[in-house]
Amino acid sequence: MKKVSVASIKENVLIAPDIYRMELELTEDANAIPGQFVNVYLDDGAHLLPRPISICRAFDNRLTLVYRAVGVGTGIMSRLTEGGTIRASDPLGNGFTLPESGTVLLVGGGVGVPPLLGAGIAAKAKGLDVIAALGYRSELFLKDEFQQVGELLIATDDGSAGYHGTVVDLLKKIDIPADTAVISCGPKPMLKALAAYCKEAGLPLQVSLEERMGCGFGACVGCVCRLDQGGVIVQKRVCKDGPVFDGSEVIF
Amino acid sequence: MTKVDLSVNFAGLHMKNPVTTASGTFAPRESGEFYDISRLGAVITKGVAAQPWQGNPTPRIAETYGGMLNAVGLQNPGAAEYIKKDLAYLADFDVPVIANLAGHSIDEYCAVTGMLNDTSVAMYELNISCPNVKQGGIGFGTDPKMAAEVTAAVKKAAKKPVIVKLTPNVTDITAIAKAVEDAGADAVSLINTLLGMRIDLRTKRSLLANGTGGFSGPAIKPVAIRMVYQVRRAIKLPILGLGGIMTGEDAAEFLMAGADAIAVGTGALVNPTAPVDVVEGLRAFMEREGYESIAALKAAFQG
Repeated sequence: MKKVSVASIKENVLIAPDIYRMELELTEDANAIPGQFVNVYLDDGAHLLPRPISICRAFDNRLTLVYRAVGVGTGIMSRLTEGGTIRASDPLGNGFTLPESGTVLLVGGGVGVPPLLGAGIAAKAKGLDVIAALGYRSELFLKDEFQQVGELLIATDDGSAGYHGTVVDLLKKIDIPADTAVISCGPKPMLKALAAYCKEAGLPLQVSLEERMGCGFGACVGCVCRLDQGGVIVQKRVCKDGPVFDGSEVIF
Repeated sequence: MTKVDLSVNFAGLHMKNPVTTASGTFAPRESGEFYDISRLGAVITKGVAAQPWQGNPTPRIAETYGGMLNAVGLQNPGAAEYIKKDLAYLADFDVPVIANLAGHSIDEYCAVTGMLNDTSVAMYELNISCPNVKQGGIGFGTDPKMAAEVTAAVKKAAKKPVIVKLTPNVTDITAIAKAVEDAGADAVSLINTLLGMRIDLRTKRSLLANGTGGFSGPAIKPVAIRMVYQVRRAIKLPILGLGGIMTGEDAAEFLMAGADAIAVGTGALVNPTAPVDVVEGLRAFMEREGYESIAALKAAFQG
């Protein structure tokens, strides 16, 4: 059975403007697949819906969440402190599928960057070549961690670091090996541009989508996306059927 | 400690406890990943129509203090797929299935009823109160004459008992309750969601793509309790009470107000094991307070 359990907060720190890293200690192994998320419950009596937060990395019974304090719920999360507890679900959703060989290109934007770290660590452990192309507004986060798993390319909106422009425009300026699988998470305009780029380049693309969720485990059908599966339009639940989908099928 | 019998007979249906799932908040496989479905008195499945419905665009969900808004719009795969997937899966559990029926017209309500008549479904819940569909749904639930008409037509088509689900978005819910009782309903359930709206001040748009949505969760519980109390005094039919139930004590409140069974809805989105937690919470409450049966708990209400 899946469950919601109480986790100990080992650390909850600001690592970039509005971006926090929360380290959780669970009572058992996390058993997470890169790309999965956990539902975080606030228990303040007013904000009842779970916050679906992507897993940045998992190791044994430790879980790292890197999130942006963007609204009331994540604001409450950001004020929790080390030594406290928080309720979180088991890992949910389907996660990324790594190829058997070749290169993995991780393409991330903003708060879509964190779940790619877990994918990069798993890809490196599997002996795959890893390239990370990450887009930020301005200030970078998780840079050192990505440098440890492979080649790192950076784009910023304001040109303060790396390429001045979008991460997809950056990709157009470099050579990508033919046997590359692309794994991505980020804002919709970025994913849409990336899907067009991958289609033209003939690269397989997995995208992790975000949508406002209700339950986060597939019961309420609140968070659907639309896919074009060979001309047949289908609706899928982002929380349960995703959040990772074939980028060539998603209707952005 | 009192030995407690939680079982109830709801409109002829034997239930091992009075707890069910509210339609639209329960999915057999997905909810079943968190608890044993057989521990519930019954399950009410998501609204199903004769043909598949696409539902509304996203965002379909918004949050508010102590509750949420939804505008899913009854997305469902249609009765044929429901029979093949959901009913087949639920057959392995020791739990009666109540099918929530959706339609845009009397003909559509009767069509889905006909498709489910010869299945394992134990009972129907006629959804004439969904605020998120343009035609049908709430249109039938806000007018006593139309509510009676659709109830009578579905009763004629149905081979199983029919619960009629009532909307709170009316001036006098007892008028609708009386109309469906007179039209032959076997039970009523209340309340469906309250029509609500929220605005995103940054984008200056509604938080829901549909504009408005159904408001549910613990914030609406006092409205639901009041309506169950009023309807209990207006009609004789069994009442399935729902609206913001999170705990066993919440369930006990509905039973005292006049409900004969209850459903957990938004509670299960907030806490995936809420339906079985409510069963155990109700049992613990009754043991503690010395109620031997649901009838004894209901009879204890002093007004």
